[in-house]
Amino acid sequence: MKLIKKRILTYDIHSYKVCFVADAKLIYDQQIHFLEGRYEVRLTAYEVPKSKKFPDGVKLSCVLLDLLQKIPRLLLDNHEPYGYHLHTKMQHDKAHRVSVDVRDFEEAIEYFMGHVPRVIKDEI
Amino acid sequence: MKSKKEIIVVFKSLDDLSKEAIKAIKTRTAKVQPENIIYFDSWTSFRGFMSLQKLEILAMISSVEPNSIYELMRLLDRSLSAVQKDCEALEQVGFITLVKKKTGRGQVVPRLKFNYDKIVVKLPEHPYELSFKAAA
Repeated sequence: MKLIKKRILTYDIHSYKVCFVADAKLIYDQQIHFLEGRYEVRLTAYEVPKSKKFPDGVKLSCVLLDLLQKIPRLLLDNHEPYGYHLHTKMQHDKAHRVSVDVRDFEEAIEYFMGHVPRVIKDEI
Repeated sequence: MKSKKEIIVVFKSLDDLSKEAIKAIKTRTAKVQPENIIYFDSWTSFRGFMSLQKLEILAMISSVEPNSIYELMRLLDRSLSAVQKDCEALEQVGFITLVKKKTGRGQVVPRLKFNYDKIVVKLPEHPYELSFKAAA
C-alpha cells in the first residue's frame, strides 16, 4: 500500500471525528470486532512532526464503538492543550474530557485497552 | 468471467492489537488493515455474528445483485426490518457496502465490499482466541 504524506489530512471514525494535521503519515489503522460484532475497537495513529502539540510525534486515536446503538462509547486521543485524554460521554457531551496520566502513546494505548472491558462489562 | 477473491476472517485479541500498534508506532512501520481482512477477537464472536441469515444475504447479494434492500427482502422472504438490520451489521463489520442511490427515493443498494466469493476463516492460534472473556 502506497502511503503518501498529506499536507492536510482529514479522517473520520464513523463520522464522529474530523481532524486536520499538517504533514501527517498514516502508520497504523486496524479494527477488531468483538462480542458478536456488537462492538468495534479501532486504533489509528499518524506520524506527525514533533511539536508542543504532539511531543512524541504521534497523533493517536483509540475508539470503542457500539455498532448496535451506533455510538462511540469511549475515545482516547491527543491534542493541544489536553495531551492524552479520554472522552467518556461522547453520546451526550462530546466536549467532556477526562485527563489521562500517561507519558506517551504506549501507556495511552495500554490505558485505553484496560478500560474497554470495564466499559462493556455488563455485556460480557 | 469476473475474477473472484476471498475475504479473510482473522482472530486477534485486544492485547495483541495494542502490542502490535505500539510496535508499529515505535518503529514507524506502516500497518494498515487490508480491505480483504476482517478481525474478530474470538471464534465465539464471529460465530455469534455470522448467522445463517447473514450468510444468505451475502450469497444473494453475490449472485443476484439486488437493486435495493426491499428487493433483497423479497428474494429472502424475510421482514424488511430484519434484513435491514442484518445488512447494517454486515456493512459495519466490513462484508458489504450500502450504496445510496442518487435518484429515486433514496434507495440503498447492497453490494459486496469487493468482488469476493469465499470467506476464509483462519484457525485461532491461541486458546484465548476462542472467547472474549478469556481475551479480556
